Amino acid sequence: MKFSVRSADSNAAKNKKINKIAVGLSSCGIAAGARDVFKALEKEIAAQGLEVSLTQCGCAGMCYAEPLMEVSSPGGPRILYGGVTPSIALEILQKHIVEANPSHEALKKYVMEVSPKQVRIVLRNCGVIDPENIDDYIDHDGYAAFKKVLKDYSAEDVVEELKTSGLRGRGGGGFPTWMKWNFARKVEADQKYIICNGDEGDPGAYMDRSVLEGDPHSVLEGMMIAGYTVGATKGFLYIRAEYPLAIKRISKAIEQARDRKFLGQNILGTSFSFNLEVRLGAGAFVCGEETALIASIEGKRGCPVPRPPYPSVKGLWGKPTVINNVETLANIPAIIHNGGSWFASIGTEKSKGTKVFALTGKVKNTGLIEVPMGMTIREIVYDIGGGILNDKQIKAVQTGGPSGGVIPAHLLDTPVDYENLQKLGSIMGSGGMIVMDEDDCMIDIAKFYLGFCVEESCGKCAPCRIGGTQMLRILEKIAEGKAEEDDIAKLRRLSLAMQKASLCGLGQTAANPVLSTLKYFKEEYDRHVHDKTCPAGKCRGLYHYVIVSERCKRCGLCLRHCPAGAITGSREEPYLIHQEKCIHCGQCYEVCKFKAIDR
Amino acid sequence: MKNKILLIDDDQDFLEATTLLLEASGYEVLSATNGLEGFQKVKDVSPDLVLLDMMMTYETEGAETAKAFALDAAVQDIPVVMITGAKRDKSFPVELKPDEQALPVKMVLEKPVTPERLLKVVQMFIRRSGEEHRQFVGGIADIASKWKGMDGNLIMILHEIQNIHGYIPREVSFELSRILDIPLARIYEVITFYNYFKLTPPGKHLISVCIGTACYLKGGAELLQELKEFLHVNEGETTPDGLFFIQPVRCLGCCGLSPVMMIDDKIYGKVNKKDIVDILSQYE
Repeated sequence: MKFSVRSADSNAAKNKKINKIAVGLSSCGIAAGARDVFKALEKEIAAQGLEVSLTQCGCAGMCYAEPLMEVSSPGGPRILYGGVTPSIALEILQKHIVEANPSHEALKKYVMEVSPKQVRIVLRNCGVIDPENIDDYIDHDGYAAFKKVLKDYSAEDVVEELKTSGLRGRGGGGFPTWMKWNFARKVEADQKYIICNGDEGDPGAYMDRSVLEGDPHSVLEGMMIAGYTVGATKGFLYIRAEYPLAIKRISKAIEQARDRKFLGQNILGTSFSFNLEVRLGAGAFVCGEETALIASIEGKRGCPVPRPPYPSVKGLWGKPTVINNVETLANIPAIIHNGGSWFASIGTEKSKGTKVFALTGKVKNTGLIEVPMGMTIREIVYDIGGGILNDKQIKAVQTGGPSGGVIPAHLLDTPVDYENLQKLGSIMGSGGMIVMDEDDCMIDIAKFYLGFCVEESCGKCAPCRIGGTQMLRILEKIAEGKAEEDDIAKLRRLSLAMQKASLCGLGQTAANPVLSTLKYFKEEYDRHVHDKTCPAGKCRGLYHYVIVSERCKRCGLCLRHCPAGAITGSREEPYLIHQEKCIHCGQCYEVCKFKAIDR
Repeated sequence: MKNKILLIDDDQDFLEATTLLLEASGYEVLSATNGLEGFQKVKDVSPDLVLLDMMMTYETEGAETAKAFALDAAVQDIPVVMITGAKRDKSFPVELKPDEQALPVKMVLEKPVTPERLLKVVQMFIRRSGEEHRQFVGGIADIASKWKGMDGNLIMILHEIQNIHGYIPREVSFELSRILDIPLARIYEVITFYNYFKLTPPGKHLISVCIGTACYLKGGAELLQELKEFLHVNEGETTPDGLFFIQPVRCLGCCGLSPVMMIDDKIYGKVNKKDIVDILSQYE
């Protein structure tokens, strides 16, 4: 880890009269042991009677280096330390604060560097403020945008500002946010609703959780501005029940906002009234789809219904409803505060602003990152992600979760924006970015994502319910080496049918992982189908286990472990695997101490 | 305290075999060989479930007995499962008419009954002891009144119930259906749609194995497979000793530590298949 210093921002400097320590207490930090670090610091500070303000903060995004703590002393820089254990924390406390020597040699190995390539708008407060303290948020320009809107803006002004900013929905499709709001604004109705979609179901994506846990007030503020603009008096936050900490912090934030009269009747002396409620998801991926989500808030099974009418016209309980994703809403206060043209100056021609990605998989520095639109995938993976784990070869990057596709290594220089990703057969999605190396089999990956969609299909429409299952069967056949010549053609036909005939986004996009792997890794499919081999060595059914007699010490371990009785041999006789009996379980391969079994 | 079951049947072999089976499953078993004796015993011992044979000394003795239960306020709440050897189509003589709602017969089982089936039915209908029942159903009214009148409240109520019990017990659903005045089918339709809601009690310790993409790439699926083989259960099932419940989850949001599994609230990161035995042996 290199030595570097995070620049102190002007606001934090104002109230920087005393030493400050903030420990990252989000779900991932707690999992890595941040609570113990916090307790140890608390005890030591009390024992020594130090004048230190110890607070919690959200996730700074560097998941690979959790637990994280940030330390600052009056007039000094803010330094972020990673990989902290209770004893390291005490050492840092001693050297940095007690001895007042932040640049002590012994501390350098714990100091973390935030890549200068990141631009943090959505994550501006994550890892900086105490998420359970509304004053901390207000000190960081919180609710300034909302006050400004109430005071100086008409609904048209807000729409105009958003139009200038070019903000598009961060939940997947990239629909312009101002249009969505404008549709709902123009519909005459006695009641309108705002919904925050926090049903983050994509495996490998957790930016919404991080924002809800690290900066809940910014999401609330975004919803309030939305409510004011479209004329809604009520909002719902739909959050996964699997995120208990996020639910706790959002509920607390709502209470605090109500106490400060940011929520309720006649907010801040104006005629605008707005209230918020939390509703919990219950583990159904399809509820990320907006019509299914509405059904779920209504207390029903989360089955989608055909659109149009769109929710902006006829949504929750038949009333005009704006549904925005967490990340979209967190952008709103920053846009209003800094102006739409500021936002529009970041990013590419058609995709403005930044995007948060959950960079995971076979990459060195896993975590949450926020980069301007238009950055190439190579920059993200190598400059921010630090390159591939164990310095292996990168094979592909997957974006968009189960609705997205893979981007092969030779296209890594593509700038990331909505249009480019779509052209490559993937989508932006909610922002999972999963790096795969040479050991990953594309058929296995396609099978994984399709299996996910099959499991999560609500079963309402036949193309999704039946098509998905049939495609999965074919993929399983391919992985087991039982594929027939026309199976790939069948896959393509079924994909097309699902895309054209499914009711909602889940079914329409379920085939994307298959289509995009077929597009870029056709050769790998062919090897599976024709040669019955898996180049990456993932598909177990395709291994041929052979004992190499030169390396075999005739210990008999493999014979004892073989559950199928497919191995014969003794001290005198050479050991042999009888292919006709072999069930490809891989037991022998794993137990052999001499690596005498090839596959 | 053990749950008491009363068997009323004139077939000695059935009595003996069933007694053995139920005692082995942790119930206290009493028996009677005719309706009159059965009625007396029900009043004396107040069992938590009655298994009642239909045909004893005469064809409709079981049905008559059940009616007698229904008319007696002291015993009419005790659930009864009727067992009959007679085919339902020809000589099923039960006239459970007068006031069907009040009749305690919950189900009619046809002989032969497999031990598995019988145990399942017993589990399903056995009445909890007074204290236990109150504890189970008690909080529902409060929860329901808190949410009453609010649109779309069902899922939120179910969440609160599951937070209390760890699953959604059948009798609680019955009670809820009554309080909210919605059909039971509406409640079950929702419970079974969402993965999060459970219909059976989870084990003492909940093992969640992450099979999000990052963990999958680093061996999450193999971890799950190993756990299943080691504990001899499938995902979504509890081990026979009630100690562990295994479930795959989509993402625990700790992708930096993958592959990850979580037991209760403790997260284990970078888990190797070989560590499983050591980790599980810490739990009892």
